[in-house]
Amino acid sequence: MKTRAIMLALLGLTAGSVQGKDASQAVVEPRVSTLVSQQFEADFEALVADDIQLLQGGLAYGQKHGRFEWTASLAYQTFGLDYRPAPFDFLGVDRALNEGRIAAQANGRFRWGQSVSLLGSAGVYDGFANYRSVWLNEYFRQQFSTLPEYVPASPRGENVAAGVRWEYLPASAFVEGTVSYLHDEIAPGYEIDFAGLRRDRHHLDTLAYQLAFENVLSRRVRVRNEFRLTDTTERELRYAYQGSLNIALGERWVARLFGGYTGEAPTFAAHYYGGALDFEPAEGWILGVFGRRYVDSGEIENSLFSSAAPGLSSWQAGLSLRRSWGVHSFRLSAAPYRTRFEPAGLGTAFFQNLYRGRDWALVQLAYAADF
Amino acid sequence: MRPSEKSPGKAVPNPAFLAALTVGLAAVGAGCTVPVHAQRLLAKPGMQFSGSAALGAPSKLLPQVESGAATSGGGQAAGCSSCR
Repeated sequence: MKTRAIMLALLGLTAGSVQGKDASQAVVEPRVSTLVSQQFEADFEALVADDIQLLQGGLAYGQKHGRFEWTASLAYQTFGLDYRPAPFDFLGVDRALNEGRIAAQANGRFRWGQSVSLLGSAGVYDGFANYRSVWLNEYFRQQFSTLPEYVPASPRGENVAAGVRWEYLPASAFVEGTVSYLHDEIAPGYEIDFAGLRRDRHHLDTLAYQLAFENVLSRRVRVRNEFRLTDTTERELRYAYQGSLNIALGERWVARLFGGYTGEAPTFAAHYYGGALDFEPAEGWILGVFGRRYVDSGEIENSLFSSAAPGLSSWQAGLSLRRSWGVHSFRLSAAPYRTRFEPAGLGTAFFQNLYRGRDWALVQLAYAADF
Repeated sequence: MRPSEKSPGKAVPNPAFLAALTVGLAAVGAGCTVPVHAQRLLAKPGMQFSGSAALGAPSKLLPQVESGAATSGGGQAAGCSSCR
């Protein structure tokens, strides 16, 4: 595996990806080969707290054939929540919630000439986008499902993306531009007043633009800079920057650092940073430590009664083990993950059990074969 | 107030600044050329910017909690899509 990677590198390769909801398609790219190669990957992930259990599993398969390569993936996610309303919510009752979400994604890439690749992807999903949507959907169901205007949620979505990747310095510098369109049918909120119950917007249309640069700075340093602009229905532009730096400290040591910032007018701001250190004690074995810190200012609130999240800070620190042999590789990582919200205001008091601090456990398992 | 209406509040940095930062940092890197035969260490699996979970890609579940770190756009990047 290691020898193969080095040989491919000497042919002039790098890592790449196509923008999409599931970005598990990043691959090593030989210039042009008549050989057919195949990739298979399976991954599982669990994020568990005392009242929330999130599980995710996925399968991906892909082929590279000459100038063309493709990947198809299927993922299933489950949301298990112990719903508990605020003590003063007299319409609310405790309830165990279990929901699922299935997603499929396809990505293609065509090498056009010596230095340009055309990228495309498409995907669909059926189910809630996140656990907060499940929680809030239950809140609105318990409050309003007896009214005729209430409509049970049926969240789903689709996405397509197209892009170009240009290797503007052979094996040393790349630029990638991607445009994505996403349509989401969401679980909406509700408002009630003397005019009756009103259902809020139940679909979102999003255009997202991404520009990414990847540069080899030296024999030991690779850097990636990304800028994203996201334009979603009825929201201000959301923009984000992320920088990543990989450093080969020695034959057996690799350090990876990253940091990012996201902003959305009028007041949303988030930043995060972290890193990982890998050590290879023996060929085929890699031990790692990693950590991450995230802080945001809270989501945008637009009314006195709001289900928007207060400010959040979180951190994680964990260990990883990676084993590779032949065409196979396997990785296991585990980390405690701690989240703390700012105190809920009067407007968000009904959601105090959703936006409370939690101590989570995060476990990731993955297997990949490249043959 | 509808989300599309601008309101006075704490200013956030201009997106043009971040775009310029991205291009500027890339421009600095563009001056560096390393021959392919000298990229042996750069070919190590941990040195790739990969989306493969087997190579240590970021968690797919954490963006549910950290909406500011979501990269997929759409309902997830919009944070709480049913919030008002």
